[in-house]
Amino acid sequence: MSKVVVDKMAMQRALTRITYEIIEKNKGVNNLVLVGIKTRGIYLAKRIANRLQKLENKEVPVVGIDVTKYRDDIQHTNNEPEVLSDNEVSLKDKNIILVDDVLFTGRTINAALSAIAELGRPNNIRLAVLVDRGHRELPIRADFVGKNIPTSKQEIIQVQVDEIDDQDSVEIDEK
Amino acid sequence: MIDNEIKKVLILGGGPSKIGSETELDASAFQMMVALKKLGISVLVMDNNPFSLTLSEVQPANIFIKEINVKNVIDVLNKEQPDALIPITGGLRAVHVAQELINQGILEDLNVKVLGISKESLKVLNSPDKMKAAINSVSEPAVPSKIIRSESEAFAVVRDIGFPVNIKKVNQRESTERIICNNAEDLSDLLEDEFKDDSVCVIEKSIVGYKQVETVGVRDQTNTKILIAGLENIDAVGVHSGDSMIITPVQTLNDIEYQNIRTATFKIMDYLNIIGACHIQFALDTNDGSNYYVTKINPIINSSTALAARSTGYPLVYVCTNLLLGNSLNEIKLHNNYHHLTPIMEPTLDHVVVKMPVWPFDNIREADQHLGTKMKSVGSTIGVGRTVEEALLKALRSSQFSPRDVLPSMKEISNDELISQLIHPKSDRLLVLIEALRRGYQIDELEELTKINQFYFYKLKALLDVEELIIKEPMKLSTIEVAHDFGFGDGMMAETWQEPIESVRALYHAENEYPTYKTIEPSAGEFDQNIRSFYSSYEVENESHRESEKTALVIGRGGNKLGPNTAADYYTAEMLIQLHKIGYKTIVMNNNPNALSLSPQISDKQYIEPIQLGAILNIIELEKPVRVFIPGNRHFLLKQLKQYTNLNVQVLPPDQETGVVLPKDVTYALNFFVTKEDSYFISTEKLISNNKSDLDYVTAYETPYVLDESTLEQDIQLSKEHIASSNWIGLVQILFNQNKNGESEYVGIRPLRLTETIFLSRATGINWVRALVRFYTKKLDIDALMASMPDISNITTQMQATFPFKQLNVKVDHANSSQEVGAKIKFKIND
Amino acid sequence: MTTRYLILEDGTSYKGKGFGAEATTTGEIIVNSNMLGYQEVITNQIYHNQIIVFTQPSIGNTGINHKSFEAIVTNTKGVVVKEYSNVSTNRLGNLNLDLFLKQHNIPGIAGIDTRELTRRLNKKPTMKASIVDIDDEHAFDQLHATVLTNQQVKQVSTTSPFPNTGDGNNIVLIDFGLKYGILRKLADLDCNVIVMPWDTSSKAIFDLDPDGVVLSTGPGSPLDLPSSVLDMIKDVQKEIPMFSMGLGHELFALANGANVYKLDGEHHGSNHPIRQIITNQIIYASQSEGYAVDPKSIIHDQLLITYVDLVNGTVQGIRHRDYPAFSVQFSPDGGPGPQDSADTFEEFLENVSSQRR
Repeated sequence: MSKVVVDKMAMQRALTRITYEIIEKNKGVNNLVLVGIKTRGIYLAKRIANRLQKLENKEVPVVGIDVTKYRDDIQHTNNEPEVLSDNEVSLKDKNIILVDDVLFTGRTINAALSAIAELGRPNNIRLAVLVDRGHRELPIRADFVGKNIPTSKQEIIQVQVDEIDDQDSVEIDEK
Repeated sequence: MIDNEIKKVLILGGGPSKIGSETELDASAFQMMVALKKLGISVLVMDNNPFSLTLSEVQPANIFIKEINVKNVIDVLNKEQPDALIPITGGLRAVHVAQELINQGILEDLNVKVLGISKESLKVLNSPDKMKAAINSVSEPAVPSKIIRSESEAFAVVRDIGFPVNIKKVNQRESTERIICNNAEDLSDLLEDEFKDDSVCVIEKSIVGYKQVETVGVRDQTNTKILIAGLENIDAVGVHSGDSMIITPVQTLNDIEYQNIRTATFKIMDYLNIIGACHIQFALDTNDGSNYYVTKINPIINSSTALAARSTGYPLVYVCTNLLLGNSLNEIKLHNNYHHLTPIMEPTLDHVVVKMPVWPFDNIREADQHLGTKMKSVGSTIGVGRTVEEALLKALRSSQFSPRDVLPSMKEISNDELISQLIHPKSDRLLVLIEALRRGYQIDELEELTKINQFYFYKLKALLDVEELIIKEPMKLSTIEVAHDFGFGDGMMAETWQEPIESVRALYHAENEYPTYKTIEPSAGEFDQNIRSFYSSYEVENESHRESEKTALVIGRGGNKLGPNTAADYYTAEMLIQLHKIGYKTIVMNNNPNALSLSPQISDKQYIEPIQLGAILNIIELEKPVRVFIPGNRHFLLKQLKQYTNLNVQVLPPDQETGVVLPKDVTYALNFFVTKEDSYFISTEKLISNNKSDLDYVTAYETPYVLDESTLEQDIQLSKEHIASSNWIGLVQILFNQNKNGESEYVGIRPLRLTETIFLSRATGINWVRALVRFYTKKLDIDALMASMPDISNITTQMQATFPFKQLNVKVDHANSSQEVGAKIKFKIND
Repeated sequence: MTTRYLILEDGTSYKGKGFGAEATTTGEIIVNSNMLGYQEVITNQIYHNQIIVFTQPSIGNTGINHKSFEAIVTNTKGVVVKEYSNVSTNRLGNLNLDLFLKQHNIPGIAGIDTRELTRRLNKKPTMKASIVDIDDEHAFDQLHATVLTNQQVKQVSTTSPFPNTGDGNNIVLIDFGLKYGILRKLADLDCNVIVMPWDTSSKAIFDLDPDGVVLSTGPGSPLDLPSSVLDMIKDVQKEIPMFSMGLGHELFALANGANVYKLDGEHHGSNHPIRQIITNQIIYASQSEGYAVDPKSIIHDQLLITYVDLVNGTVQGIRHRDYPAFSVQFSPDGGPGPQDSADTFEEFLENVSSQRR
């Protein structure tokens, strides 16, 4: 039995608020680059970039990264960073906002930090997540949180985005 | 942004009119066609309703006169390959056809999009269960109900939701009645019968007596939503909303209750991904308005959306057409008569509109006049005013069709009958309520008996007080002023005082008092819009000024009635179009919210007023038209107008003189166009009666009627003689009877009837209504017209009238022509 | 009903029938186009010193009920309608409009061509009007001579703090002419509210250590209030999440360096499309505005424009770049009017909980 804990409107509001908070912390959009973690993090990052563009009338670049190869809890053969982006965006001296859908153990973020490290030395990196579900295994915390949803480890949190799932929602499921 | 991929669209019409869909579907199809053409899109129309204006306004190559069914639509889709199909202008029938085509995968195969109804809406439209699920999904309350198969299941539900409850048998093929149970005994008894044949039933909470409120909303693809109107039913739940008296804006809700249903409407439109209009019905607990249920979702165009458009002045169909094609509300460009942001401003009204139903019972006496959950009214009229009383009275006056502007009296009904009608509503509801007040019933007891909110009784009482004033203080300026404020017509006062109407009018004209016409527009005076619909009031500012030096006034038919039915309004619309083409500025006077003739594109100005002498004289006084046209048979009106004005007033078709005895037995007819100089043969016509060959029972027509050459020659000769010795001009019909031996004899002559004029137009390819208008304005070149008539010898056209007997649950052995509710037309190619 | 007159500063006189109190009053005359909610409108403190013309023809239909008060004491100067309905039908009602107006010494006048009046008023800047017994020269003289107070907020604001208890966040609500709808919305969200007078200092606010601060709507011009109010806003917005509306929004703008100007004609209604800039969504809201923030005066380093009225282009919402402080010109609680933007209260509380972390 899955239960919707965040519906479309709530997700919209959360992203809107995160956008304003980013402007507050960053004092505007100067030097900002949004790095979305594949897959849904990229769509969320694009939505935030869209909002920033509407408010500030400036394009904020969005870069996507695939961090599966960086996960320390999964065996890999290949060590190349995977940047999914159409154009060359340098991360050197930039203010990065790392964007992901769910923050759980922190290992994905850790992997993302490693990936970014290979791409240049940014000015700073902050983390924005739609959902923080607790149970960190590494000293990682989010700067911008859409919703705090405490869960048990057995539960599954499923984020769906309109762009690929045909709806916007966050659902909790029993394993 | 407009979807540029869509270049050609097929619109499905509504078929023959019936109870529940009169001209509003065709009016919406017409307005949609106008909007599509403006966007540069090619329009194909399919309909078998001969009285469809849309069919007349699209070029012949693009019309398909066929019954709306799956096979026919597939044929046209295959042949024409349109980019999209629009079923919402065709009512539920067309929508079901579209649904079937989607289910069969045909539309996908042919790469045809369906516009106007989302797939989510389609799911909900047919299934009350899915509708309930949708309502619950957006956390709105649906009427609690459950499918039950046994008595114990039923009682389990009752323990949950309490009495009263409704039981309805589940039957796929036809709609069944809900039967109410007030206690355990009723329920047990009823279920014993219902479950006898192992059927399945639905039990639901009864909301009889709840207040019914409806909303019409509009949504675009950027998620922007506007509430167009809130329609409050004066009658409580228990009377079908199509039969109910309706008032807008809502009068007895407070803001909190209203915002609840506005928000609910928006949530549902979002959930169903509606692009376009949606009509939703609610039931509110009269004791606690914040307790309500969503009872029905109608994501289509219907008479409620038409009422919303006509009452607010919001160009609903035009806007929706744009939305279907991908424009957002913010991007729509309207005619510059409107403020450019009109599509996206939520309508706010500074006037009141009341809708009253029009009944078929005068023509079908066998029908049960009690009002219930199945719709029985055949048309509606609206009254527009600056106060609730004014709107109520004008609507009532419009619905009575009395040329003499007097309200029928209910004095004769017994007290028992009165009480019975208070509890079990029948037609003429408002008059019964007024009579009850006259007889001294108290307002709170009336509210208890009828479940109608007290507010309306206060208003009716105010009207009664003014009526008393009129009786007690005749021919006084002060009386007239009060009467005008409350919506009383000059005719009513004249009749009560036994004075000619001119004397009454002279009294207030002497003080330089004249009606002030106000615009029906959706911004409550915030913006100066040049919207051309007006209603009368007696206040300070008059917003309507004389239109031009060359104006033609067309007096519409008012509410749709059986007999001439929707043909009458089609006729009126054609007249307006033709007069405009000739060069007149056109003004129409009507009060049917569904009317084609009130579509803004058809006339230069519209007056929504009771069709009564006083109101007409007022308009004539202001507009000083050079011609006045009265479509349809209205002797009394014509006589009065001739008496009070020296205007050129023309009734079309010309009046059948009273007292002329028509023959009883008729087989066929010859139709002619007659000028002062000559008469021109048009065609033969078979008159098919459903009661031997009685003329009154002719309800089907076929042309041509094949005669051998010599008989035809003879008949034509004979006809011309009769025509010459009669006074008739215009379209004239000579009646013949063929006896058992096949010999035909002349039996009579009459002007061609309205419905048959239209039939003839469809059959011959010449629009005879327009020809008549040109004739009467001396612009007709009859020879050129006759020469242009195409050869129709290989086509047989058939028109069959349709009747509302099944809908009214009556069995009539022989249907006569005064009972017609619509017609369907068919062409057969002869080899 | 007795004969009374509505006279306007431009010399026009309307004859009508009086209801409510028989008082003679003078005020700014404005038009309200909401179709429902006359009780909410009449009791809204924003209308202090104003005579309200209702475009909706029939007023009084649902009597007076307990849930629709936007304030218990009302300072409206008059009610102008086409038709007064002397009925009390809503089950919640136990009083009707006529009696209510008499209780509060507010005169009403009915039988007016309110459509013509509306169209006339729309063509001119806001003017004064009076409801009088006789429309003679003396009445007009009095009308011209009357100077309306600029101490409106002082007259309507509470003089001492009072609580509206709840279990949730601690909110301080500054009363500039409080509309109860604001309290109701905060109560719905469980807030523990303390309502404080308009001239509360920032120190007094900090002493209470609230989780969030709300600046209410109110009557009159923000320019009539002393700069100490702006100082309070400047201090508080740095430390505590802030949400303001109506007059509060105008003050918030002034405190952050923007200018406020008087509109040519006031707008009171719910029919204008308002665009939320960040999402491009269009909403509708209850608007009651006589003043607006000048977009050209907005210092982009300090403020972002968040909402715009598409009909007249006015700024309908702003937000501080550096602090969790934002404001809207309209009344997101409705009363009367759409609930489309009611979630701005939730937005405010999310700022509050973000801040706490």
